[in-house]
Amino acid sequence: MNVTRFQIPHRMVAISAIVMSSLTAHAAEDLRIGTVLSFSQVMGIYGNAIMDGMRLAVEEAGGQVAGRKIVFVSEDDKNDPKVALQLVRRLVKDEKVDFLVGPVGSHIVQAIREDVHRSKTFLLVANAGNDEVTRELCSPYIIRTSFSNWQWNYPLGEYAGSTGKRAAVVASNFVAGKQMAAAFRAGFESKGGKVVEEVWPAMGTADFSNVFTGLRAKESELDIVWSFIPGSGTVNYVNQYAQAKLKPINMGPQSNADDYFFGAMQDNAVGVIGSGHYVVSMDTPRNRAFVASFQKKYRRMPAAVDVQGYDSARIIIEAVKKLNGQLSDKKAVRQAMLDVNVDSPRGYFKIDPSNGNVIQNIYITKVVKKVGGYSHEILRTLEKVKDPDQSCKLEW
Amino acid sequence: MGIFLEYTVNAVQTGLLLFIISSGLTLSFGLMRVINMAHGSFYMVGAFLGLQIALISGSFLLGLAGAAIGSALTGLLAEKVLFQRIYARGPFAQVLVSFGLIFVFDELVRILWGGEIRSMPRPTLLSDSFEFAGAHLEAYRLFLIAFGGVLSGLLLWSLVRTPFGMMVRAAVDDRESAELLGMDVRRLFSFVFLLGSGVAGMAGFVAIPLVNAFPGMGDEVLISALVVVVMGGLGSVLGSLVASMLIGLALTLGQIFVAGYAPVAMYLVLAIVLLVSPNGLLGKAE
Repeated sequence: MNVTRFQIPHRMVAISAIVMSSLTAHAAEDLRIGTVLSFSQVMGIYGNAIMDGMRLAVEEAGGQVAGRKIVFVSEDDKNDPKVALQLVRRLVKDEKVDFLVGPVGSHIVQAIREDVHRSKTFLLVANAGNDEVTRELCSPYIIRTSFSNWQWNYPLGEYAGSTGKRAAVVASNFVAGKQMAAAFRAGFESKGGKVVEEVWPAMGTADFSNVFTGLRAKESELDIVWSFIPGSGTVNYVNQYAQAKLKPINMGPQSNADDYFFGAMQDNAVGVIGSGHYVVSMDTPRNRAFVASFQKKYRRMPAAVDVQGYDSARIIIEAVKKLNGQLSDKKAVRQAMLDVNVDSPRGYFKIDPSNGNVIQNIYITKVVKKVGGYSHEILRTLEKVKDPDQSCKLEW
Repeated sequence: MGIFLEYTVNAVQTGLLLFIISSGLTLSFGLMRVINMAHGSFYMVGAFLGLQIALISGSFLLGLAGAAIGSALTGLLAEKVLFQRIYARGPFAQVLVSFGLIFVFDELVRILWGGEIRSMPRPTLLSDSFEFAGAHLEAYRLFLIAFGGVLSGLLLWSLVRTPFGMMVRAAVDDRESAELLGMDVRRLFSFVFLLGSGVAGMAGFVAIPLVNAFPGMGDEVLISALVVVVMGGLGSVLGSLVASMLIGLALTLGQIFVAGYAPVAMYLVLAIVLLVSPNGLLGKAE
């Protein structure tokens, strides 16, 4: 017991040393990037991937831009809107970050939108696809580098309409699930398809046996089962779908049978149809170089979410470089972020000046088994897909 | 008819799996009044150890044995090193320490196996599914029912019929008197802890083909397990069994009729049970 008592002062000294050093570091005009990401629970894998992507971009830039050292202030939003909101308030008020990056969940971005806008701090949405954030809830301070829920699913619905006529939709019961399902339905119905069944399992559902039992009762009426189950649940969904031996085509955003999950899904993933904005197997010099340096740093293959993190950091770095580190003129910062060439591994990448959403190619894919693993084979490419919605009014 | 049978199989399987996860928690709660938030971690440790052994040996049964032994020993270690020091310190210390232990175990698993989601195919013998009375039944889910049924039966039988079980029940009912009669309740508890962790570890392992293994998987089941313990009545294993089956049924009904709010069904049943019987289904008044 005495030992512990002696150790306490040492620890206090160590802690105060760390606190002091972080305080002095702050004074030296670092470029501070605050992240609002989920590092735990169902969405944890995405938060970590975004950080990996960003760290690679920062490393490639030599850890600094325009003489300012780049530092991350990252904390877990626990996939909880209330936690995320407090985190945003603390990051902008106390930590005085220059940029915010995040969040993973569509429900989170909705919760923090108002505070981000009022704080006049730029937020780069690195995953959450919530349509409204670049539609009626758009803000000049919000730029999305990932995708919008519509962008993935409307083209997928059109594709589905050319292969089948009756579909069921299964989506996690939260805002992204609702928006994605609605976009899929709109695209599907525009090609003469009909959604005949809807199931909304709760977020965090791990066992989908009852969903599949319900679908089996209607199996003969279905050509397609479209689904969106984010995070760890999607592995269970895809595996159990295959094990339940359901006949309709298993289809959904590419995140369903994400590259991350091939190891856990194995053959169960084969044949799953997806829609997304990045495929690791894209054979361009830019993507090959990206994959090589990513693999060297992390000893794993990158996937779409890593690219989203990478491109978010790239926009920040290029814009700050262009402005020579001067970030006080907010309008100039936004303009710089719209103008810079990010040179994204995904190929065409442009921020839509009218709403802040990314304009990019969308790939309809199918999971195939190859020597040495699985990959997404591109069935159809839709070029420069842009959200046609006009409801965004940018107000500073 | 077929669809009804399928739903029944799903409900029974969910309930039995929940019971074998929570039985250890019920006993430790009932016996020592110790609140072990880290119980889900033993479920996770069992899953990962078993998975590793099954991958190396290619044998599902060896994996199951490894899961049981590995998580039981981990539980025993945690009990000897940590919990024994905090029994007397009341619920706050217990919650804090065992809650901290969750992070320790999650991080350890992340260091040892990485953060990704890992899966395991069903054993070949059990990978089939077949049609019966218009229902599509998966062999593995039937195996889980049989496995859970046998394990639950053994557990209940040993509590009612064996000298060990009698000692446990005596100590749960009245610990002071049991100690006065010369029983070593501490040692008994160490053994119960070991047993409970081992059973939870087995549950973690057999659950992998359905819900996979990943760091943090224990947190997901912890809440349900706590609900089972409270609903069944502190220390009542039979109460836990009934509570688990009720929750399995409630979750299935919830998923059929209000899928988006199915988890609420569990709390709804808990609330109703506690309103009718504040000590849980088979718990005794303190």
